[in-house]
Amino acid sequence: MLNRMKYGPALLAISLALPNGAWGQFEMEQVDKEFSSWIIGIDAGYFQPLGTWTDHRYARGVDLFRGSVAFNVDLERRMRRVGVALNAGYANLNAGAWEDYAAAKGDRIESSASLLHFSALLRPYLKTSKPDVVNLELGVLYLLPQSQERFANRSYDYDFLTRGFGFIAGLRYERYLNRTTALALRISGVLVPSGVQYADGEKHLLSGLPITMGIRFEL
Amino acid sequence: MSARSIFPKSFAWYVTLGLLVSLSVSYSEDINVAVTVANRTAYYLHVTINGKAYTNIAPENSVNEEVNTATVSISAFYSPAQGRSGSFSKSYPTVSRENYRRSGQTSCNNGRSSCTSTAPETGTRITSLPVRVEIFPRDLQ
Repeated sequence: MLNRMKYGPALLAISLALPNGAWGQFEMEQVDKEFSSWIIGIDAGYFQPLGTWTDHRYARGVDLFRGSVAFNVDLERRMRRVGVALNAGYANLNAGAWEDYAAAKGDRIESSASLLHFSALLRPYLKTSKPDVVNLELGVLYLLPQSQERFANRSYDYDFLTRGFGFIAGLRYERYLNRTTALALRISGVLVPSGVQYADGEKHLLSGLPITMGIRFEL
Repeated sequence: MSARSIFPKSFAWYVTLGLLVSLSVSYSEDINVAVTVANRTAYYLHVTINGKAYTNIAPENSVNEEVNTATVSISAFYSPAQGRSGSFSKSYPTVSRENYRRSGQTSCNNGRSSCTSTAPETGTRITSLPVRVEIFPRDLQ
């Protein structure tokens, strides 16, 4: 088994080089079959917001939001060289700079915000030879922001963080520790065209860069 | 005894008319009314319409919403960290109700024995009152 894993890419290359060869086809199917599985993954890391959507609307030079921790969990069905995954992600947004600015102006506020998203992903595998596996990921997501600001005995949501569909694209590297367990490093980009919409019409593209590390188990 | 003799034609007509009137009244209750709140101050405002918050509304900009309640409550206050304090709160009617009554009419063709009649009609006419509120500095006490 290990030999087949070790020589899998070589066997694959040879089999592809043999036109209409039954042997080549058989070996390729063996490699593909071994690479097909259900996988569950858990990631944690940092969400880095990108663009102007995090700028405070009237406090010039102040970030309303900054990056913070991010978590991710996904279930993937890997078939040959393509995986299909359902993913749930959470990113906290740090509003400390805005709270400090308001405090300096004499107003005590408490602010919190986070982004929850669910996505469906297609993962084409660029490298399938264990222990090193690399894949791209492309998909659509649905963003569910949550937020609250408390100011002068009032509490309200940031209505401008709006629910909506967006896109996600990324790259993942997996290093298998054994036959079923791998460490993973993932960097991806998130775009939500209607993510920030103020009630009086101003709009911003919501974008960010989650960078996470995690562990993946083949079931 | 046939159904026709139990419910004479004129009675069925009244019932139908009554149903139509009540349907038109209940339909009117679901009417959506446009509400606009404009910021006429030089500062950013937080505005709430029926409890729903709209934050950081820029000077000279406005918020548009539709409500389906008989009154709409609007409040506003200066967004934080602008060195300003003050708030505004008021309710406005979004519909007007007017009771009406029309008497029935009977008309007969000359030379013929048949007559046609319309039933008396009562009901409530509901019309929407679009709400537009402009908030000036003097409104924010």
